Amino acid sequence: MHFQFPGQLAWAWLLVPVVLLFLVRRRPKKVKVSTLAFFKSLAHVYRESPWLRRLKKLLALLIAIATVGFGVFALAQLVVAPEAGDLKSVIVVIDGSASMAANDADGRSRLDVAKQRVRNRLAGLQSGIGVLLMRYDHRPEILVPHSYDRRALLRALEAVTVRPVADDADTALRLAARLAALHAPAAIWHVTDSPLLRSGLSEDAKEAKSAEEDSRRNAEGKGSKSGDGEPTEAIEVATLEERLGLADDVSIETLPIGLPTSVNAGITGFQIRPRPLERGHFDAFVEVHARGPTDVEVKLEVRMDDKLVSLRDLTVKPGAYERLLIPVEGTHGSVLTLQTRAEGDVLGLDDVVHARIPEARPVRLLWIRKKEAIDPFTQLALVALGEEGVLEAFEASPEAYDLEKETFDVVLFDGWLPPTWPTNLPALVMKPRRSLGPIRTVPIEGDGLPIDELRAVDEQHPVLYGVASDRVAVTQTAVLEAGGSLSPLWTGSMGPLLVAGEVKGQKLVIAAFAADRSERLGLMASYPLLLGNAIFWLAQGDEEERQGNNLQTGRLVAAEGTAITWHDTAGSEVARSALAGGGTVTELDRIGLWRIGEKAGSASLLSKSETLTGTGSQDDVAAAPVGTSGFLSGDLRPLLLWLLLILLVVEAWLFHRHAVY
Amino acid sequence: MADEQVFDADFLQRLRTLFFKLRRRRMLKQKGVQQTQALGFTREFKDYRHYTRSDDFRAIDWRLFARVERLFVKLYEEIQEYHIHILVDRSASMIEPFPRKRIATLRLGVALAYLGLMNQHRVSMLSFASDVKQEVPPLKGQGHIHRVLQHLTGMPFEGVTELACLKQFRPKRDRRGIVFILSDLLGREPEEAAAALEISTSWPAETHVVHILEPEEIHPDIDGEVRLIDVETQEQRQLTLTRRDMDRYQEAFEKFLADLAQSCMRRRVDYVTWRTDLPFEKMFLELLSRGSALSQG
Repeated sequence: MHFQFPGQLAWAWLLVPVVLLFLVRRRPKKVKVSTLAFFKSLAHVYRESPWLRRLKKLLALLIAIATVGFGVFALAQLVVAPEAGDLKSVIVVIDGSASMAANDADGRSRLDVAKQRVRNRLAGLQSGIGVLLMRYDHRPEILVPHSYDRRALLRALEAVTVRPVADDADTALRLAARLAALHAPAAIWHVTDSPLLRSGLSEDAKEAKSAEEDSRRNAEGKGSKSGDGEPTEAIEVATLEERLGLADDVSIETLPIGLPTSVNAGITGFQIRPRPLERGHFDAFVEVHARGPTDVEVKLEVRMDDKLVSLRDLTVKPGAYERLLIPVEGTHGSVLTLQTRAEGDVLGLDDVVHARIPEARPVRLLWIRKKEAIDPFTQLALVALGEEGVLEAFEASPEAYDLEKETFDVVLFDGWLPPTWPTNLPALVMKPRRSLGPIRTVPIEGDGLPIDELRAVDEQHPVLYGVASDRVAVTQTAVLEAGGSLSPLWTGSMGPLLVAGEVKGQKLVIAAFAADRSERLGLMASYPLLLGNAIFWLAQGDEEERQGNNLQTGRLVAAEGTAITWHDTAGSEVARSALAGGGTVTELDRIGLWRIGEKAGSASLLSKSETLTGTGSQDDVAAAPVGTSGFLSGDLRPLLLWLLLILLVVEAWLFHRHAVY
Repeated sequence: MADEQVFDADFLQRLRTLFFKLRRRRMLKQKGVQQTQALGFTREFKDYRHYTRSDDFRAIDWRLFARVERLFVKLYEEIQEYHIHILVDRSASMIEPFPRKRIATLRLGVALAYLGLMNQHRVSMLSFASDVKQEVPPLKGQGHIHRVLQHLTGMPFEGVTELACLKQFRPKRDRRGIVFILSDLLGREPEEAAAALEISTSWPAETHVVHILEPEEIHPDIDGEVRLIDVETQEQRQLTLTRRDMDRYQEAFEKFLADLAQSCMRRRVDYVTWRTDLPFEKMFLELLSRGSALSQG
């Protein structure tokens, strides 16, 4: 037995005056009369013995206490748990990601099927079992907290819609598992078309995961060329229960939706890059995935400002992908549209990608160093990056230091710091000799301290991507203080010598070592890699900008503005939504072209997991009843209210039936 | 209320004034004292007349015969003397919960006694509750009024009203009597009063029932849950009374008064209600103006 709203039990304090009034109630006024003869004739109908009067008073007290008690319990929503071992709650986790919009058969979307499946289940669920309804796409959202109100639950279920966003079932299920533990014993009903089954990741999921990994690598220029979808690394296979950390008394059941035989083809990867040294020419990287019982014939249309410029015919094996590099010519602001068409395609949300042609320019770096303190290894690394056309480095002496003159993406302070710390640019600081702004450093006197063995604190940090930290030996010039949001990446015997982080919105990488005095660093590939990683990580925000802000749906965009407007390829506004509280961050929850103030971009689904999902059936199966029914179990609020009404009627009959004023 | 206030100097002065008012009114009516033309046996000589054969020869005035040698008989004035019986209810309900009833009763009793003594009638003071008790022996002469006052002042009011005890009261038939019953007539049952007054028809006297009432007895101001206590029997009754109940009470009480008046009328008993909130003189004059023999002087 428990209360849904235990705070309402505070109303029980009303019992105090009730009992007090009974205990210290006013005695009847004593009135002396000359004779009782007339009163006796008057009151013959009320005549009652003293013991009956006392009994009635006690009964009145009990009725008052019971009335207040029932009222308080009803307010606090008393719930009597079903018998031991039975379920106390069910967490319904419904997938609301893009793939749930697919129409597998009979014109119903997967979401409709999912709703029907849940309705059928809820119909067989005993009323004493609380239900929590949660939907998710890339983030979970609790629609109905733990409740016994089935009507509210069904209303909320009807209101669930699909958002064209990829899902993140793990996050949602972890949250569901934690919520279920609060009301254990509990069951989680996971209604999804995702191939996440009870025994961990399914073959489909493994395939999808490996393919996404390949896709990512390919986009970074390091991927495999294979298109057969074979997994390239071992995938951790653990049971779902283990991965979610489910308690013993919490079970999870997946209700699969979506026909595995459905045909779907969609664009799952896209990136547009300017060709080096070819202004106005771009390469569009496209990845197309398909699923179906047999090979899927896919037509890929390439349109520039709604004009068809290219058409590709692809044959994609089920579960496999095709990756293409499509040369594109366009001017800044033009809209590139890619669309796949396949016979029997069940999901339209993944068929289209819009992209704004970005302004073609490399990362602009301002390198400030003293003339006499030139570091040939740094210069060599920057030149190498510049040759690839991705970086444009400008050298300046401290005397010419002026960030306002030109527009730069990143500033590199090499062995020198300005008098006041600039806060408007991401900064890479090398060999700092004093503390300034967010930099806290203690210089090491002399030529520095050779460090043979570095400890990489965070090898997964983007700045250290591909860097062989264990093979590097450096000469530390200062000890850095990694506090607050600056996290150490390399630590020597005296303390951190490479830190990175974001301080008050400004990205920072601070390196307290000299490449020219470091053994096995300057000549290794790790140094230009480290330098390039640092520069591109620092310029990452602008990198998206340079690539036209062509982002996945669900991403958060930071921009100054009061509303986000959505446009078609002709530039006409199709939707507008105000930004809550005039905020600067908003989520991209549509597919199309968007604009916030001066910032513009596009949003596309681009999710392999959304394109390839569909593992269940469309059948509406009536579920077996869950839980045992009982008169005194479940939500007792209606019963309590009835009892309260009956008590009031009894009280009126017992004590007020003669009182006619 | 203190006894001094019951019979204070002011009250006695008012009583005298009242008496003179009454006498003047009698003189204006030329009724005179209760003298009749009938020959009586009192010693008050009135006239002579010739002796006739039917006259008692013992009435012949032999002295006059010796002087005028004719037979005359003396005529004596017959003076009618009443015996006034004043019965005072001394039950507890006459003092509680409304002490004004006791004061009104005692003042009325004293006023009647004063009137009787001043007019040379015999006055007996009796009291009753559960039995009838002679408080003061028959008195005659105005000088006894202080004795009456003294006795009534110390008379205790207690006990239960048993109106049936009026049967114990039997006035003698030797002289005409006037009976005043001063009571609230509240017994165990409302019907008890009318039944008890039945006995008055056997008394050789004219009977006056003075029903002493407190206004609040007719219109009690009681509401809500109360514990009622009968001041005579100490019986208690806890009731929740509503306004409607009190209306019904008033109806019952008024019916009780009406039935009592009707019953007295049938038995040729004078019945008057004496409300304690009304002026004493007004009520007293009204009482005497109802044709009592006492008011004839």
